Amino acid sequence: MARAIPGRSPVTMADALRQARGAGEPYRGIWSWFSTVDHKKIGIMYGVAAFLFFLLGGVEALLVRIQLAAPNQDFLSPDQYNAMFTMHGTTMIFLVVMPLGVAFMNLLIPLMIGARDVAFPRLNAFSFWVFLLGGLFLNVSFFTGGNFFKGELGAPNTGWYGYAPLTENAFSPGNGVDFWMLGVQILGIASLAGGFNFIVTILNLRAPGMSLFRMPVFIWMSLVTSFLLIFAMPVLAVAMFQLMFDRLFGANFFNAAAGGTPLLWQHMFWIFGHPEVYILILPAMGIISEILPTFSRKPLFGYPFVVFSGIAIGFMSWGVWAHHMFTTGLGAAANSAFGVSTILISVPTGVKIFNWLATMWGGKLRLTTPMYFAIGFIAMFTIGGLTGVTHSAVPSDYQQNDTYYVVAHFHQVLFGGAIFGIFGGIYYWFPKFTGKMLHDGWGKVNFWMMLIGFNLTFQPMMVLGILGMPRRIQTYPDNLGWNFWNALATVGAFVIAASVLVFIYNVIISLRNGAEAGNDPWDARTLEWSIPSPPPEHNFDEIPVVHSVDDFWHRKYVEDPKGRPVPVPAGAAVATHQDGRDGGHGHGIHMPSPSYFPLISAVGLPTIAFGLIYSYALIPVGVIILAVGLYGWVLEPVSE
Amino acid sequence: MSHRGIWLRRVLIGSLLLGTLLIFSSCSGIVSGGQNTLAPEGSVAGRQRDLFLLVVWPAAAIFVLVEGLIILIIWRFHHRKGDDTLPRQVHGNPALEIAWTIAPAVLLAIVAVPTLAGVVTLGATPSKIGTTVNVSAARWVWSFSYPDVKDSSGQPVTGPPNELHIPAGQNVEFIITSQDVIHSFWIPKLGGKTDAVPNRQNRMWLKADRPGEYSGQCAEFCGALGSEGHATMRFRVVVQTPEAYRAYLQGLASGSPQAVANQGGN
Ligand SMILES: [Cu+2]
Repeated sequence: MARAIPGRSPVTMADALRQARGAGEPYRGIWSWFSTVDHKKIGIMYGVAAFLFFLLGGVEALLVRIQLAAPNQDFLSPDQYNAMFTMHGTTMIFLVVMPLGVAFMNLLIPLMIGARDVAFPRLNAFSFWVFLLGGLFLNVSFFTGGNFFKGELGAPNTGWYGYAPLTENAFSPGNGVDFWMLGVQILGIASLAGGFNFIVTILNLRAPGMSLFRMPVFIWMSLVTSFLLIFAMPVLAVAMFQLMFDRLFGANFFNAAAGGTPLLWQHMFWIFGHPEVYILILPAMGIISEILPTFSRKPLFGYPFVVFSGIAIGFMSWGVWAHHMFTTGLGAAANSAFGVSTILISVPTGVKIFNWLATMWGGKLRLTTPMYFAIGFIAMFTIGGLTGVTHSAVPSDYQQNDTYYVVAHFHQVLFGGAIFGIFGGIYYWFPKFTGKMLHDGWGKVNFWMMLIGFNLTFQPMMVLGILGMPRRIQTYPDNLGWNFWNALATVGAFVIAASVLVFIYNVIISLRNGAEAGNDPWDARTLEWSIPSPPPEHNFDEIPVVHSVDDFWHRKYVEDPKGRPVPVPAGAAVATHQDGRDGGHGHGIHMPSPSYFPLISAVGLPTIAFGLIYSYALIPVGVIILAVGLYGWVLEPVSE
Repeated sequence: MSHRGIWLRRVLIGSLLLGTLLIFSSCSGIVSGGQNTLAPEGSVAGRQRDLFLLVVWPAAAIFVLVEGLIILIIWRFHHRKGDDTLPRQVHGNPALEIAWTIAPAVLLAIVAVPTLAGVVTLGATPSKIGTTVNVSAARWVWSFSYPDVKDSSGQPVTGPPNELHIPAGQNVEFIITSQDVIHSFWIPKLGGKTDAVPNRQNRMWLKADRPGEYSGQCAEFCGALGSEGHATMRFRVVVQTPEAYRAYLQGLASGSPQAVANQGGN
């Protein structure tokens, strides 16, 4: 671990810092979290922070649903309502589903590929701090509109995809949009850092014998997601920079009044935005591709098909962006081409659904809570996929575009898909990282409430869209047949909220009194289950040697000629890998040193952003913080 | 929790979903007025409805297939108490997998044909146009002017804000633009929407079956100020007989829109 050499005069800031804190003391307690570069601690922080943002985004959704529960209400003013749906969307996408996916990637990638950490541990910490500070920065905007407690909200109010020229100064005075564009810009830096880190980790740090086609499917999906991140985020960054130049420096990229091109924004945003959809859903697909085999007691059906369809989705996701723009007047040729590409991308998605079903077919399904959520994913995501196909019938989309039908569709994908997958993942891997099982009974209560709440909330929105209700209206007349369905959706939203409370309760009681997990509570298949729960800091006492897909399973079972698994005699092959607790405790294993510099560097970014909004004098301060952080980071001595 | 209980609940949820589906497919019967897109009153909306249903029915079949398989699999393959053997380890079946890659591709190719035909037909203005209307959106008002008839200064006559008049039974071409931010011009009962984009003139055509009154609404979020905003950006559509429509335009030209407004809907 990190130790400065006592008595030596400090040669770097890092040294000085360490000596000031007491030479030789490893960081402990709360400080160990601020300085950690351990991928597991970073993963947990990512997960907890994203979950807190989930609660915030959920409250925003509830306020929206209360406002829409009945016609002609004024629970929220139009401005407050617009801020709520904007922040709900921005939060759920950039601060919840994306970072929850990243949390799983952080926690699992090194463990699943048999590595001791990610390739760039400090970059990983930097990614987390930038994400957290970016998220807080975005939410600070709430307090900048006057008196927050009188309901004067300064938050952005132009929607999560902020169509120009509505976002220009002329139509959005105030700082809300500034916080939005700069906050998302900061979050993009966190995503880029994460994306590069995961790619290098997966390509370079796999255990001996783990060829690409022996990687768990979750790792494959993480790899595709990471590539999408590093190619998609720069496009968004450019769009946000253009908007920044328009708003702060009087440029005219999107400013129609000065001859700018509003549709340019839409092209840029959706070239990012459609790969983004797969950035959100692919990690969840990876998660359920791990859960289903474990609880079906069978390998994933058609591993290569699932992997290749994931890769195909990754490529094709770049060719469908204009299906968000069918009504903008692109013309028949473009609309035809993007209609066809949208039809095509549903094929690899369909392949996955049938492969998952075939994985369960012929198995002996153990219906635990993670399995409930995984099956729930298939059942609900299928609806989202099918409503997506209806959009590819372009003329029919002229009717549904910008209505509640679309709102229903992407919630079927992102809630019924991503969130169900993520909850399944939490129930599945919670024991690995805490050493405690989540309570299965409460887990199933959580599942059923969430499933019922989900269907009550979002299926009525399909009806509303068909009945001609546009999105983003804060009130509606009472003679259009929308009242009943809106009331139903509001009831459903509160059922979902209750299910989340059940989840929180379950986490609390399980952390206190949960059953001990042991190394391998589910009789699972991948390497993370071969080590203790929670894993030691260095993960593996001995780096495993991998011989096949699901290597850990094959250490426990061999297949007889008929394909029936036969347990390997106790102690034969498993022992050397399962006894981390009694084994070497990892003495002598070199682990990266903790460091404050990623956190310090990260603080520089929101400082610069505040400077851009309020006073240019803050910009050099932010730049200096960033420079000091990076300088210390580069020169920090390598320990031991 | 007993396995039977689990199974029953799953069936319950399944039927709940199915019920929702049935309700929404039959809502054309429940709500005939308003903005129901499944109860069209014009040929464009009718065509869009037909295409939607053409996709919905196979989609519903796939939905029933997948959800049915889930229920069947849980019922047949759930772990039974006391059975501690493991199932046969099947790793895949390329022939089967190729089949379920190609089958949906074929199904989708069939859907693609009417889709593309629809895109082309609705994308080009028909050769026989009854009349043209200029649509101009601004926060939060719709203005409609009619180039068929010019006022004294040679400009197309303009009707009152948020009130559109068109003739029944004729193809009507709309030339749509915006004065400020992006809006979207939408009359759900008559057809899909087209965005009103500043610095751009988008074209769309519709054909109303018969005289009557319909509601239109802005469909692209365009902000709010005080109590005005995107939600209040609605307009009234008056479909008239061609004769009454002509009379309405002449009335606008002679500067007495008040007088002709009373004949609206004739
Ligand atoms: Cu508008």
